[in-house]
Amino acid sequence: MSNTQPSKDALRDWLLTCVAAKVKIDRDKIRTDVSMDEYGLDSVSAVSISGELSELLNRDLPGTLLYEYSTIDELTDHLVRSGAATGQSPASEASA
Amino acid sequence: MTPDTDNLFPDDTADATPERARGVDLVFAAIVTFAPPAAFVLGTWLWISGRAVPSAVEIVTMIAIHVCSLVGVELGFHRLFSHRSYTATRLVKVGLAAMGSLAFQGPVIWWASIHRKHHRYADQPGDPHSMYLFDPDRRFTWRGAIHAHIGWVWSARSVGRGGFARYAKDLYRDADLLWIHTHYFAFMIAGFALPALISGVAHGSLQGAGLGLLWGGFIRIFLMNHLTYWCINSVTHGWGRQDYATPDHSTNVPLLALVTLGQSWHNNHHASPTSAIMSHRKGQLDPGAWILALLERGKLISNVRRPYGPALERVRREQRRNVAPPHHGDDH
Repeated sequence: MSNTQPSKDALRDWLLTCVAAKVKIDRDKIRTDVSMDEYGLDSVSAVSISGELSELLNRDLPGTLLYEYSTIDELTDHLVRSGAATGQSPASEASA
Repeated sequence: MTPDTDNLFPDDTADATPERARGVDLVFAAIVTFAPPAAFVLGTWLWISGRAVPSAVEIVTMIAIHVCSLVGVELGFHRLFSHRSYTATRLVKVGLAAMGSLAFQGPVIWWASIHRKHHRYADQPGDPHSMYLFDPDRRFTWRGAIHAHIGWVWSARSVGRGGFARYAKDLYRDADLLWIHTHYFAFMIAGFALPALISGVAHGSLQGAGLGLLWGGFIRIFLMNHLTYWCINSVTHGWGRQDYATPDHSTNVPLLALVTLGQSWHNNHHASPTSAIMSHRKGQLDPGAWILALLERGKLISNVRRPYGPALERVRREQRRNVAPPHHGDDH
């Protein structure tokens, strides 16, 4: 079962890449402790990322998720707490 | 002189966002600025010349959708979502959000964010649509008046791209609202497709559908936005009377009360922004409040906030004064 769950680091990395692609900003310039919305992530993209996360983690996630947890760090922590990610940094990571 | 717009519109909401006008924003700005007035000219010419006279179907449809969208914007986008001035059942909440989305005034949460920002910086640098930021001494300019009325929708700094969740986190967390917000485009198209469909079916012709689109779609938007509702940003911050010494230029303009559902008691509103009732004394017509009273009686809404209270007393003038006519001399 844990094979399907990405590690916390992998999840954070995935989110970083995903947000950077949506807002067209170099991912090195995006901080994980700043609200994703501050980078100009619009609501359609925010809902779309929630949907892609649902696919990735194979669980139902609300479209409002990115507004409940507005930074990448908060969101990752929440997903780890709720059991959607492992919270570890294993060698085998989700290849999403 | 050319004002330094970077200083005039301090972009506190998008510290990390590169400032860039998105193509889609400019396309919407161009459509909403030019298409409705052009449609009005075309429709009037077609009517007068006898080439295409609107029938009762077009007029009734236009008025019906106009009233729907006006109620949605003023009682929904403004009094409910921006100011949380009453509590609504889910049906009313969703209905008002959907109706307001027909008005071509932008998606609901964006609208509320812009409006909350307007109250935060009212007529100061940071206000998305103030007319007083184009003059070094913050005086009236015609350029500013045009910016306040419609020009601001062209300004990347006014419409913003980042940081909006800061102003409307509560609204983004409402799944119903977020759905309507992110499906705004479909509602906006419906505002054009519906009158076209009704007239097309009623007249049984493509020309009928075109007439419906013209009157129930574009001319309706001209009447609501350009001619009446947008006057709240321009006229009721420039001309009229101030009953309260608010720190902005908001005014009360009785002439616009009915067509804005009471929002032209705009100085009252800035003095008591969390109140659902815009009328502060007898004789001040506030059709929005009448509708709220009906909804309250039907138990569809509750916790309707009233205007009077200590907060109001704080801003009440010792003596009412008339606002001096705006200074027009130094424009350009």
